Amino acid sequence: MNHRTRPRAVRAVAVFIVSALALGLTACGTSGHAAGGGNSIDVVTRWSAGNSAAGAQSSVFKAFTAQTGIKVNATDGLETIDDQVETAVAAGKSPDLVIVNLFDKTLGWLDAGVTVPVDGYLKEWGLQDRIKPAALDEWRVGGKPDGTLQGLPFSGFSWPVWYNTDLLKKAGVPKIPTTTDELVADAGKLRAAGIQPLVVGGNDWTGQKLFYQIAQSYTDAATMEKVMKNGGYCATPSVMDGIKLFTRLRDAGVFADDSAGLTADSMYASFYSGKAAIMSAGSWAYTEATKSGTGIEKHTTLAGLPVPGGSTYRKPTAFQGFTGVGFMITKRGAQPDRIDKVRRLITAFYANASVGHFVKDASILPPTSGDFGSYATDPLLAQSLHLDTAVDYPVVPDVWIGSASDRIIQVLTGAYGKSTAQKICAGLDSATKG
Amino acid sequence: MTAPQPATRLPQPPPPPRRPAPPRPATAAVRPSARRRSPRARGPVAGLLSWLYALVLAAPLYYLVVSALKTNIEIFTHPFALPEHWLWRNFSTAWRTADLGQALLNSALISAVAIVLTLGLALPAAYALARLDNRLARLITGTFSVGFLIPPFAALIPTVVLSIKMNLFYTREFQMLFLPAGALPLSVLLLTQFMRTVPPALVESAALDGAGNWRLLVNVFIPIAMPGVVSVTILQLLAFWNEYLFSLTITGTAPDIRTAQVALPTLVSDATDFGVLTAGTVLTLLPVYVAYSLSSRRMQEALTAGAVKG
Repeated sequence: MNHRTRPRAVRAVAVFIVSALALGLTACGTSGHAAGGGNSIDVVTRWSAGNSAAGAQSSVFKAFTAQTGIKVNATDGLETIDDQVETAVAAGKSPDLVIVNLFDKTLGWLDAGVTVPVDGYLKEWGLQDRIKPAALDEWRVGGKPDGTLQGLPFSGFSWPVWYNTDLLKKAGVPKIPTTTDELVADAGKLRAAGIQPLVVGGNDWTGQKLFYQIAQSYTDAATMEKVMKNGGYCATPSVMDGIKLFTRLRDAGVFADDSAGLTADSMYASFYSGKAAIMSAGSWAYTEATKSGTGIEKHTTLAGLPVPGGSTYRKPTAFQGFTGVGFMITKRGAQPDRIDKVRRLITAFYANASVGHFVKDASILPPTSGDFGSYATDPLLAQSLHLDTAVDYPVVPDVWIGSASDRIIQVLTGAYGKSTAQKICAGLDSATKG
Repeated sequence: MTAPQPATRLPQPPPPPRRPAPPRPATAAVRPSARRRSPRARGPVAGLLSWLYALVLAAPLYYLVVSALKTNIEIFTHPFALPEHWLWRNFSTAWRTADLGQALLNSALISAVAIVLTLGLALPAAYALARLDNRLARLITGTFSVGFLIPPFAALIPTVVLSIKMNLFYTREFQMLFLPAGALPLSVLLLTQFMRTVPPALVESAALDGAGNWRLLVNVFIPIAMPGVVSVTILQLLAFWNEYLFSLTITGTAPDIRTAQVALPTLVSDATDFGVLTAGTVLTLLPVYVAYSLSSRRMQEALTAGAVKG
């Protein structure tokens, strides 16, 4: 008998519910594998599925399990990986190992007792002679050689300026600019040819990094680190000169139109599609540039950002660093019954073949000494490995600005708009104090 | 007792008149131009506005679908154009990379169990509140209404602590229990209103036939309130399916237990392929879209019925 108390819609919903129950109940009672014991190791990783390094990471995990019989329970860390790990630790479900970049909250993990110092392991595991000292220093507290080592660096990056030489030629620019005066002149030529000059995500971290690259043009590294850490932008004349240089470049039309509203993704798209001639981007974008299918990698030259007369730096500047991604060992991972598994997994990552795989797939700057040229099949990465002679390296701001990063981005979005130098420095001082 | 007959179901609104008389505002007498405007003259304007409204609603959907078939460059340089090359492989890449099969199953399981629990708790509660009309019932109804005042974000930390204490952190089971708790206020209030439309004569008749509370609920109240049950099911299914904050924090990102909403952000990186990301988004939207499409007529009936009954 059908009184339409079970019409088609209701039946559909019922079928959905019953099917879901039937399909799912077989797996009911399961839980996430963090804090799994036995013959396994729990890892939270910043290299989530969509990352170009995920494939190389997966290969290391599989080879490790095949060799040792230890299962790797890998969990993707999302944008909020810091919160994820802290919540897991509070819940007693701490992972053994976190593969993460050194930024914001992760800088405080050692003090907060989330992770342990790794100085001892570095020597004990035979990694001291393999990992570059410069890379290790970046992972020490305070960024100094005598600081406690917070983690083991793995993924380094270079962050040059990309020049589309075809577009430069089209606009009548004979060579890549090395001074800011040349850059201003070239920007005018590019605009006259209907080409956007230097495109940047003024609304996110790409704009932040480019700003700091320009702002420290007249300042030595030690002073800049101090200002980035404690504030004092307005009170430091050399930094103010750098900020004024930034506003001069902005007002001269060096940056692409509407930069204040752009993000990293729109920056990449604009450069790859040939709408803009110049951008500042890191080595993680090399693979994506080639994959874009526009052939951009064939007519791109990597170089530095032009410097002004009287600059602290003799050559154009580019960033380089090893705060990309590294290994942080949690208190749980450091326990006597677990530390050996952590050792075996971490040392598997540092094997030459593994590092080479990461260089090839994800264009990382290798953290270990050795010749990885044969793995640098990407043309942009191959160029990047020879940047040292052409550029100087200023201070990468991440470690120094710490948790003020997001507040600083808000201030700098205004800087890519119409803010005056005075307003920018006051905003940065305020953002640094929190 | 006999099963409820169709005649006892919801009173249907009268069919609309073929030529509805235009409303007559009090000021019409002093506005001759308004008085002259016939319904036929208003038709094209209303139609145009309706189409414009539909276009506004459809635009984001169109943007999402075409983006799922494009490269990043096309998405950012020609956002509303059709794809130059239709990249159907974006769907398979998203499915494989984010392990969406397992994630969709997890979402379906959590949503289904949560819906069953929500209805299992809300229906008896609504029945009791609909049948009682005293101070206590009003107090309890008011208590359920207070549930609306608690913003979900404010409940996050206590809920995390609760899941830890219950030893259900990083499990799907906690979400299955927690989601119904959050859904109960709205569900009970909606169902109570639907159940209050049951004619008292029908209830008395069934009671005279010997029907107890259980039979009254199952054979009289639920069939008559079925449009309401479908409405609550659809509304809460959408809410459960799209829940992100608690799923991320409490259920976590482990591939075997994470929901579709938590699996999607794993496609985000320093150089995100937005074509793949939007393809993944489309895939996670499809199940709820299908469920809603199948049930939408019933839900619209329910809303219309509620409107005419007052």
